[in-house]
Amino acid sequence: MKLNFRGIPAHIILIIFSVIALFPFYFMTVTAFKTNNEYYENLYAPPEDWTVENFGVLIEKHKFFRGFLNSAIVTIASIGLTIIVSVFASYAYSKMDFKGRKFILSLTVSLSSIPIMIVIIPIFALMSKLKLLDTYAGVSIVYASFMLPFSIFFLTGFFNSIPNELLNAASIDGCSRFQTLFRIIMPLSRPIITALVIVNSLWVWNDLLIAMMFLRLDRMRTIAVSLHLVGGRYALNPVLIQAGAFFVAVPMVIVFLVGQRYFTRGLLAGALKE
Amino acid sequence: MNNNFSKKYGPYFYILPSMVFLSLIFVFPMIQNLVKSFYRTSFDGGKSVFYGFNNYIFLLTKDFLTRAAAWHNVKLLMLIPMLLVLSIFFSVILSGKIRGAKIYQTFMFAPYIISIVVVGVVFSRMLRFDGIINLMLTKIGLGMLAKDWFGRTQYALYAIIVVILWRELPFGIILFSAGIRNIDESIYEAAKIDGANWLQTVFHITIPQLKGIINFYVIYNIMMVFAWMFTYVFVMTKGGPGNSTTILELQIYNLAFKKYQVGMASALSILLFITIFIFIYFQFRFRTSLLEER
Repeated sequence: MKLNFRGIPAHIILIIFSVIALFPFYFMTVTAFKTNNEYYENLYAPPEDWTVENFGVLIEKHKFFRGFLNSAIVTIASIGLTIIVSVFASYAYSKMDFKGRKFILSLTVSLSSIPIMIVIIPIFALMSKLKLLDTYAGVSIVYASFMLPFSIFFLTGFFNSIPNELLNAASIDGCSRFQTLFRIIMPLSRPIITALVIVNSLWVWNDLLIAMMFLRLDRMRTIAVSLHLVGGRYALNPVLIQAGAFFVAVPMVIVFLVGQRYFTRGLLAGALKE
Repeated sequence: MNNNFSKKYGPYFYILPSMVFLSLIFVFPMIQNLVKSFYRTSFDGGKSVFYGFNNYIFLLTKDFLTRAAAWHNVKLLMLIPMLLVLSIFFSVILSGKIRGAKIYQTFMFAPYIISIVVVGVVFSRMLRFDGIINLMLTKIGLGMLAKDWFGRTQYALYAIIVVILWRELPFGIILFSAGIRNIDESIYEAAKIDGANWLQTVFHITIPQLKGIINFYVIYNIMMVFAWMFTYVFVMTKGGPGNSTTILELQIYNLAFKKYQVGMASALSILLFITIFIFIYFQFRFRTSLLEER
């Protein structure tokens, strides 16, 4: 019994705060299923006739399904790349001895806080020179690079907790360094890699700036960018915008509800020892 | 012989791919920024002219837009005490073995998982003059408070601050909840025997025990304010009305992509980098010590 502020007052505070946290979700959801006329007559209540017409318009006219696919492709490709590169690097940082190990690791990790805006203009110029603008490959490389510092930090921390005796035993059994990675370390790391995938995919799926700059063609747009273009403060079609917001939010709400445990663990990695 | 070689240089092959990616996003861009910041670039893609320190001098002494943007970043720092107090407050309540804590937690975390673009379009609609927030204010008799929150220069930045608070608070709650869970139960038992009441245990045990996390959280948020606010402003106000909500990141974006003054944008990038370098350094120190302790 750590603290004894429980009872009714605590519940009242928590309920009020939960309502504030969830109210925009409520507004977005009920508005998404209204017609434009009903929105102006009935701002808060759920719609009298639920309609999915808005989603039809989004998919037909604003290519939201295509955007959904683009987002999925970019998320999967960039996270796959991140995991492969960071597993190798973290394995070396955690289990091998080499000159400059500590220094390079610290430098790498500190880059996790580099602000994207101050480096993105030169990256844009470079990608343009390499003819990688408006390609899935180009944008995936950019996303993966920004995810690497945190991912390496996260995985190195976990690999450090794997006992060296386990690796020594494997090497006595004749496993090479490379085989040890796949036979011993990877199977042990499954939960931690899941956490990393969830945290990273939230970031890629939700990002606007990089997607907007590196995928400029209509057919390449990610869903966050499509929503940004449909939105706008003075846009005339509020129900369509809220339907778009709903469309973008729902996949991540599902990911969150399914993987909440992993999500929390992933977020905490930067701040706490496990 | 071969074995020796792989023992000595093998590790570098494992880190090589990551080094390539990281030089792409950091080393190369920063060198580019530094070089370009000394040039004046022309609108039409013609020849750039060497310009010495003039970009820097202009930004630091003459450019009122940049100064306004920097001032808005400083104003955003008021988020930090709000985030700190609220997230400690809620995590203390949640840790009190309250019924249904899990459900409350899930509800409270929800804002953190959706895209800032979604946050932006939803709040823009709710905070319009004819939006739902103003309608509710009118219904409860506070109609005189109804405003076009993003449309007035004196309120727009504060409206943005409220939205950022709404979305970023869950991270603090997750952080401090975990921190409180890690505090040794026996300290509370001892305090209870000494007759400490609930409030005393919060101020004399919980908060001092969370000191390390508080340090981390404050530094994290300072960096957030200077480095990761672009999307909020870009989707909600684009810096307007007037320039009442521009921030440094948006100013860099506008210089490069609206005014095509890449040299000036690079100089501002360097200045912003220097500003946050010190915080990067602190975080760097912090994270290294964490890795060493494991």
